[in-house]
Amino acid sequence: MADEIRAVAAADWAEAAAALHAAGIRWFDWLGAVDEIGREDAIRIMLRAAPEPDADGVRLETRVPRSGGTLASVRAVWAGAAWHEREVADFFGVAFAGGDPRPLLLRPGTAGHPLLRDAVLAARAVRPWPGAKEPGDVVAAGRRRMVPPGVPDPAIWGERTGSPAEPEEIAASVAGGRVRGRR
Amino acid sequence: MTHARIRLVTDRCTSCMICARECPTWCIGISSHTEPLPDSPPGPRQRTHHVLDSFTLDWSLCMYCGICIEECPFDALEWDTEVPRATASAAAMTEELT
Ligand code: SF4
Ligand code: SF4
Repeated sequence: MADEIRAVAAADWAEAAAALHAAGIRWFDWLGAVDEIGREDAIRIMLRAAPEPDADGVRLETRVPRSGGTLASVRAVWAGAAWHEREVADFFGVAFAGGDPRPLLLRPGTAGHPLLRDAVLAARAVRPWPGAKEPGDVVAAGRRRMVPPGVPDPAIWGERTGSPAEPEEIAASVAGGRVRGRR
Repeated sequence: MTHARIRLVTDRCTSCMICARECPTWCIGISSHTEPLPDSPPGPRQRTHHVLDSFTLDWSLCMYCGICIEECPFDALEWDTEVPRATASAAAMTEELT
């Protein structure tokens, strides 16, 4: 038993949602998004609805471009979806036509969208990270140093000279871990 | 088990830094130093181990997610039933657990 996954074109999104509701799949669970950078230049948006809370349902998904993506709002089908759409708009920069345009979690005027994978958590890059130390507090010469998740390899962002790194490069390096020490 | 606070079992901790690196809110601070093992003869091949000096947890940042407890390979962190003590300042919320 599992949800059915139904991929639709972005243009058919609101219509597909309305069709679910009309078919009796009326219980709205959630709506969310994933940044697909590195695989394709897209944000994947998903919503899940089911006939009733504990039943198997349908996961509707679609893709919009990473920058300037727009999707029709489904708040006319499920009023509660507007809350999730506002969250996706804040975190991924996707606009919902006909949705509630107010930011939900970010302050108005906040620059950038923090859940895009190439968003650098700049506050983390400037604050000392307690995990940067090695056991025994040794900082051995030539040892590869650690960076926290959300902060790219300094060679790619921060200490890089010349042209800025491509978003794909930044996104691939923000998982945290060991980076090459500087010569 | 009530998830009221986190306890450090000091003699299990190897100062490996894993919990400090995994903590999403950066609230664990660890200091340790290296000492030679008593049965290892001095010289370039002398074997050493890490000795924990200080293990602090900032309760004002901790969100009780339990990731540190999950990730510790030596079971040196455990849930405990008593809540952290009340303090009059944010700075005093950082507690020494060793
Ligand atoms: S419970 Fe979570 S936030 Fe608190 S110290 Fe452990 S990892 Fe950090
Ligand atoms: S992960 Fe466990 S053994 Fe390693 S430093 Fe943390 S408490 Fe100590």
